[in-house]
Amino acid sequence: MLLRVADHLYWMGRYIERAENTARAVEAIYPAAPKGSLSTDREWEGLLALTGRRKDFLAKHGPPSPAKILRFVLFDLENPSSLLASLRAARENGRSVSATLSPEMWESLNALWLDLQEVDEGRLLSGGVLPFIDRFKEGAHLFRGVLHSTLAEEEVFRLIDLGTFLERADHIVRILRARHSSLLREGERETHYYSWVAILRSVGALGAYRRVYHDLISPGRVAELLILREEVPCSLHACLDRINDLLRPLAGGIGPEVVRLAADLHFLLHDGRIKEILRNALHEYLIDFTAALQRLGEEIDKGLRISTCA
Amino acid sequence: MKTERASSPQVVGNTAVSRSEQVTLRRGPIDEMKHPDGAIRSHCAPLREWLQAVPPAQLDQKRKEADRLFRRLGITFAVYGEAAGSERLIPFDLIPRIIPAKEWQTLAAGLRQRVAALNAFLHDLYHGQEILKAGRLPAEMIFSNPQYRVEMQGIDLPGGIYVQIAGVDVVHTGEGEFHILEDNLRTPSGVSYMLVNRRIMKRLFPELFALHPVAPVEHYPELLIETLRAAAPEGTVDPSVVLLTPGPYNSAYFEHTFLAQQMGIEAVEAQDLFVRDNKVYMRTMEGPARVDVIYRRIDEDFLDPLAFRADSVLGVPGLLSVYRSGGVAIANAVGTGVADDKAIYAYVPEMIRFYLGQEPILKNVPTYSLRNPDDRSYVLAHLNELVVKEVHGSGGYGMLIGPASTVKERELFRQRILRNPENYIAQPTLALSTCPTFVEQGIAPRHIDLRPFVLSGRTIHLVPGGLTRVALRDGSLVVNSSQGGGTKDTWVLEE
Repeated sequence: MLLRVADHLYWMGRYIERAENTARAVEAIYPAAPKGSLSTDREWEGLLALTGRRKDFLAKHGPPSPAKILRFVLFDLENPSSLLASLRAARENGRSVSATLSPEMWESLNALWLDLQEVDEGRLLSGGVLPFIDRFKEGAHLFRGVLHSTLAEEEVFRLIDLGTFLERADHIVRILRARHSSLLREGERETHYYSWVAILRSVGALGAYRRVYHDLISPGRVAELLILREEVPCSLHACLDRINDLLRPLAGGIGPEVVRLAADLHFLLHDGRIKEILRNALHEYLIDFTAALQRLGEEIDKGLRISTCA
Repeated sequence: MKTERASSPQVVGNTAVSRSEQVTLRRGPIDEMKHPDGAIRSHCAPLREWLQAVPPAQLDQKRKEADRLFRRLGITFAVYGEAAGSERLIPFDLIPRIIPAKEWQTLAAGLRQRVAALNAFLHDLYHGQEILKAGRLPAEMIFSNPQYRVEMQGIDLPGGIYVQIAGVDVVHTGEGEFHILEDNLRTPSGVSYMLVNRRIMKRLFPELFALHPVAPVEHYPELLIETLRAAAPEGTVDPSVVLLTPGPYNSAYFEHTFLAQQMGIEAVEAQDLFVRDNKVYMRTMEGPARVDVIYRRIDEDFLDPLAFRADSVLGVPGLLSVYRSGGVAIANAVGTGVADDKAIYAYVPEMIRFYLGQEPILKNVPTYSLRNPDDRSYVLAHLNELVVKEVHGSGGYGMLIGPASTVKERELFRQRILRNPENYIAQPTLALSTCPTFVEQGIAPRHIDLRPFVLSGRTIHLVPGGLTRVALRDGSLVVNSSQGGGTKDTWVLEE
């Protein structure tokens, strides 16, 4: 497989996952969280912080409001991490490898983009965006299904999945960082319960939590589930398991340094104890993890872009 | 020949345009569906009946469905000069253009003959130049032509074939009569439309295919890969073929990835290729992989920045030197452009006589060469009747269509011609045939042409059909997609 094609496949996987993550993050707080002591405006601003584009938003739109934030994170094509912009980037990457994809794969991705880019965002913003998010999720699931039922080449899966799981890990760390303070308030159920739920919903892990613990939601377990429990697909541990497996056969193309970095990260999770992590400052742990993930991403980029063979 | 020219002001190229020929060409266009007396041509009767029976609302819905399918496949087209990211569809007309078996047989034989002669010409030109020595073609037309690539002189290509893929533009000008408009020997495009138009018609109107014995075209990609493999350097076992594309911003990008996908080969960009030890490789996950044949869909000026354009970022440095030493094949070959400019065009019938010893089956449009003073004075006096074209122009740009032009436009062209006469040729306006077409007011005749694709490998292959382009504006003769042209499915009927 061409290195350039590998690069596009990997980024296609990342952007699709990024759009899905945005969809989940919006769903988690939409409609705004039930009344309580939570400030709903803070929820919305948390969504903004999550995308890492708070400064861009303020410069463009001034003081935030829920409607403005929704428009920004879902529809604004000038915001490179909005759902639509991510989908467009996935489609552009897909177009560049449409000779490698099955025609059905390319068509399902292209059709999803065509379908969603012509929605009437004004109507959605006043009437509710969940139908839009549902349409997107259905399309994204269809795309993944088509990928698995029409493709023969193992390498294509690997690269798309590599992008998917790296992006997912990045998203999980972002969510945990954005809400880490609530995770340290074990006794303050009244105040922080909905924040814990929002964390789980933002990564699609509420059901997984119930299946694993069969018990009340507690912040220590939320952290444990999302960081260390490898049996659920929405944990950092599970993501790094997959990334490790995916990278090993690709090492010849991407370079051995990448494999080493991923193995280090995996080792950290494999040997982690949640009590220690929480005792020794969760926030610092997450910051270090973010940096390590970023380094891994950069090494993958380097491996796929800078050719080692000429 | 020079004396012939001098003897008559109406001698064009090397063929005198007789008065009767002029008259023929000025005759009204024929209608693909009807005889001149209005009776329906028998091979069109089932389609015509069907068209009259089908409710307009249903056709309208099918038209929308076709648009949706084209968009979904991503067959969109970027128009130069429009905002980046804007994507347009080439309009697709639902009414097919039908060619009866007999007409196609003549056409196919004529096309094979023509492309065989053009390949023989290119080989001769880059070797012994017998045709120049025999005085059948003026040598200065070659040596002053920027498309003549001196670096190809004496290079032997596998099978002596230069043009693996030709997209010859043909117009139907009279009963059983076709004229060749252009040979397109460099990087002809449009074949994906031939294939996709057929796929969409079969999906929308399966019942029509039960009524007509339409010859299949779907095997084109197989013939193409066979042709490309045959172009590999001698002795190559299981040649590795790639398609070289300028990338996603090129207007034909869909076609490039579509063909690569259909042939199961990589669509590479120049950055994916590199030269080492006089061989060409592509950069893959598994390391460098050898490339034997490059199906280039990129202009030859942009193939190698070392050889042609140093300012190009598109090329593969060193590619030309590998090519010249036989380390890689390029299809179409470098240097084919010299045989398809509009001035050389006039000499193709002579090539057929010279190399094949045959009379041309298909007609050339009589062509006035404005480098010739007699032709020039005739053309300048008759600008309102003629079509003036740039010798190296394409895409329907840089053209004056006399009968449709204003006094001001003609004056502009007169000055351009006088400034640089070698740059222009002129031809009588042709009566392009018309075909019923959906327009805003219903169904009306619109002018069409035809681009069949001729593949030259171990043998010459031609799928029965081609791309039919249609000028959607009333009275317009310009079928180019960049100027409001559309396409139709092309049905060659089996006997």
